[in-house]
Amino acid sequence: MTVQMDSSMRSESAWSLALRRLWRDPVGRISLGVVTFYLVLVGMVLAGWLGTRWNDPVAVNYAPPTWFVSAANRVTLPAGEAWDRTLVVPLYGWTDPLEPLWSEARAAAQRIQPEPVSYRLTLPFGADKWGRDVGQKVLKGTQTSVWVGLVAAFVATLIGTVLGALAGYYGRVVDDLLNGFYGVLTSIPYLLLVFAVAAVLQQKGVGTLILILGLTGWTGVFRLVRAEYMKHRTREYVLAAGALGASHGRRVWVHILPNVGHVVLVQFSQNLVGFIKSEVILSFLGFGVPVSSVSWGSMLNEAQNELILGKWWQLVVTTVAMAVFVTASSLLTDALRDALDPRLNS
Amino acid sequence: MKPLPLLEVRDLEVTFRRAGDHPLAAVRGVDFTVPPCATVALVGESGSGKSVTALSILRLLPQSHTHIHERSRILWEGNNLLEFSPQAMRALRRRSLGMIFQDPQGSLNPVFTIGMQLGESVRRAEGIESARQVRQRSLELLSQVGIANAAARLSAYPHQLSGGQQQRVMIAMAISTHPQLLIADEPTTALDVTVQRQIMTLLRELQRELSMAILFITHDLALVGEIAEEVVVMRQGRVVEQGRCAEVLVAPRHGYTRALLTCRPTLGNLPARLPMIDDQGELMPARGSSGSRPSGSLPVVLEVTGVSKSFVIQGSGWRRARFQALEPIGFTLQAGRTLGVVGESGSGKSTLARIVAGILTPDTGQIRLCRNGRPAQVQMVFQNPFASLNPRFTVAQLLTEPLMLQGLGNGAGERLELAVRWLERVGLDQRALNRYPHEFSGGQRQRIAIARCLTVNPRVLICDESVSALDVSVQAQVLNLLRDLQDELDLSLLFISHDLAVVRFMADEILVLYAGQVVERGSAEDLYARPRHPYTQQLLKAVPQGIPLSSQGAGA
Repeated sequence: MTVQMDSSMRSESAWSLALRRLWRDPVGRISLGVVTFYLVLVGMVLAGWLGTRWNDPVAVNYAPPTWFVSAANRVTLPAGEAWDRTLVVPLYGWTDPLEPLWSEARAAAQRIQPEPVSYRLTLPFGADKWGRDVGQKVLKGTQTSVWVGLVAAFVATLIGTVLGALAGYYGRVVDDLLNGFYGVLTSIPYLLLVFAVAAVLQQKGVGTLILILGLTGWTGVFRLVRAEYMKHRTREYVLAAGALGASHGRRVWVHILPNVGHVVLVQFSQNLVGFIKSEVILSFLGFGVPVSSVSWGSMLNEAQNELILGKWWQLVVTTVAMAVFVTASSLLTDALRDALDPRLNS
Repeated sequence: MKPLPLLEVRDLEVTFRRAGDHPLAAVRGVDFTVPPCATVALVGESGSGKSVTALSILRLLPQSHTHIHERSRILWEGNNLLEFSPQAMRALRRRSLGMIFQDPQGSLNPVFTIGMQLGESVRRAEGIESARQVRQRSLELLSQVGIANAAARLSAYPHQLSGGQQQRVMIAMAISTHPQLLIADEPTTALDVTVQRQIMTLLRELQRELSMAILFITHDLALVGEIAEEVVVMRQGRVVEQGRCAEVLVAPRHGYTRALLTCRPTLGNLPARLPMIDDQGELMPARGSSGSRPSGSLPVVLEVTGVSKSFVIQGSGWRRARFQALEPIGFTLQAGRTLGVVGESGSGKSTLARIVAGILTPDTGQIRLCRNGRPAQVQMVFQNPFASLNPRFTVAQLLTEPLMLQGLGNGAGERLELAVRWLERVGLDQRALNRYPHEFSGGQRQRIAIARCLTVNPRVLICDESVSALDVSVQAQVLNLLRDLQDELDLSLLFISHDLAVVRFMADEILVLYAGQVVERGSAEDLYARPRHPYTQQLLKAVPQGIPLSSQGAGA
């Protein structure tokens, strides 16, 4: 006798059912579309197809945003100060001790003929103080911020899930220890903790940001996953698995984890939103990405000075890009929670 | 002259709308009448529409999801309830209707005292405001429902009361309105047999005292005979038979009623196999072997000696209160025989099951498996088939996992073949393999759970209330299956249940547990015929016998 497993016999798992329910919800569908669009953008920037020229000065400084481009949208600026102008300085009979150096420098300058650079007068999204294209910057900034959020949320969720599962499943001493650790960590004001970690790590960078957020943000996941495991470890299906010879590890990761997966997933997307906002705050406060990089937070930081001068475009572009993503992620989280709610599964 | 009926349900049709799915007809054309001061029982298995009928009388169904057909009428003293305004309906519920539910713990708010909750309904019903009068009336009600020391109970919280007392409080709240009709939806299903007996007696007394009508909803035909004068048997949203209790229970005309009466084991009737109900609701005759039980000197498979267990109930610092769930207990189980364990909630029977299954470790004592004792030789079928199967596993995964864990079968292909063989043995086919547990009915899930236990070739199968959550007809199928498997595989069963009739059907020997102690043990026949311990006697007396109340003829 052979047993055939053909695909027509397959029936839907709880996950595919949930996905279908998410798709049926218009809010879920739209927000999933928006988030996917952003993720594709991030992928393209990471692959080097978009946003590579964000650091090049391509326009005059503070070039305003315009979508209607006239023919004369360029200005060619002279190629810098001429070196041949002789400086007349009264020397009162002395000879300049630096004269040999000066003449050498002048001769060198004569040999180089800098080409005149042509700058754009307007850009679709405007330019910043250094004449960098805000459109390019926002692409790169989106990549940085979303990437930081994604990786940090992954790290935090991973830490929270593993610790929460161990604490909730094993209970007793393991739980007491992990709970104590959790208690200490959550009793420190959040920003203070973040600054402390930042101060210890002593360097700015995307990696540092991910570490800061990941190491401080797992507490919420821990609390919820722990509660779920406490609930599930005495469920009959877990007892049955134990009676059939499944090890503790197998019960924790193979049996219970898929049943609390919906909690983990919702926590992940909630953390994603939270961390993107945290990244913005940290960069705004100067703890974020270094000047060699750009993120939504550092752009907003620049924008506050520009706004005083009436240059509003960097602020608007960044805010819109951020608000759309954060709102879509939040709505997706809500829709996910509804779609994955086990109470609706029957 | 026949008095005007109190409640008349005419052609009731209720449909549930479901998002993105076909509407579900829960009740399809139900007619019955409740005369004043009479008890009418609505009987049916799950999905028969009995509770939906009750809720539509109270108009408590969620309006957004349900549709009651325009033709349907529910007449309260001649007026159609379905056309009442919400205010009129509330007034009716406040003055003339009382309701008690299955789960008293869930119906009482855990953060308020009994006095506050009872007082609230007293205040609303009587329109009295003075705290002293409310308290006076509350005390009266509590003593009326038989709660001793009523004054102290008023300041108690629900969790400080036992299940039976909680249900008494619910009854007190229901009768505080002097209802003309009390709707009782499975009021004793969550309670122990002895407590059930007390509540039934109380309901009967109150009915006579307060001259109210009772609409009694239950799945248990045996219980109906104890309280009702008229019975309405429902199946799949339709009434299959109705009439006077004495007639319906003694000489049922419809096959389904007959089936319901016979497919449940009773203390007096002990066939080798139970008759079952087919898909059309007709009775299928029992079939199977002659039913001779193995006896004589059989090899002992399981030996339990001096096993005890206690739990920490209050862990604060170093002072920990312990609760002795199981006093030292010992027994042996012979090959192919069944040991029944009987006890009410809190008797320690589930603790015993879990210790023998190896899920809990005992404080003292030991368990010896007398054939090359691998742990897989004891397996356990749990009570709730909805909880004991991992919802994220397919049936194939569920059945092959134990094989893999125990190192049985060579490779995935062979394990799958073994799984199919067991699946077919319990009456399912291989189309089930790729499905998830939620796609099966309760009986089918319990079969899958049994198949999963059998994959590892156990010598001993523990059934901890394994059929308690199932409908009577499904229960008969599962009990028959267990019997067949036992004969075929020479299995020893440790069969645990609160249902004495079911244990009597399955067991050769019986242990009676009370508060963690064995109060009586003996062969099933002896113990049921001549119970020696007063507790056993009390238990046996409390089992509903299904004998109609012949003396009660008033009301018609």
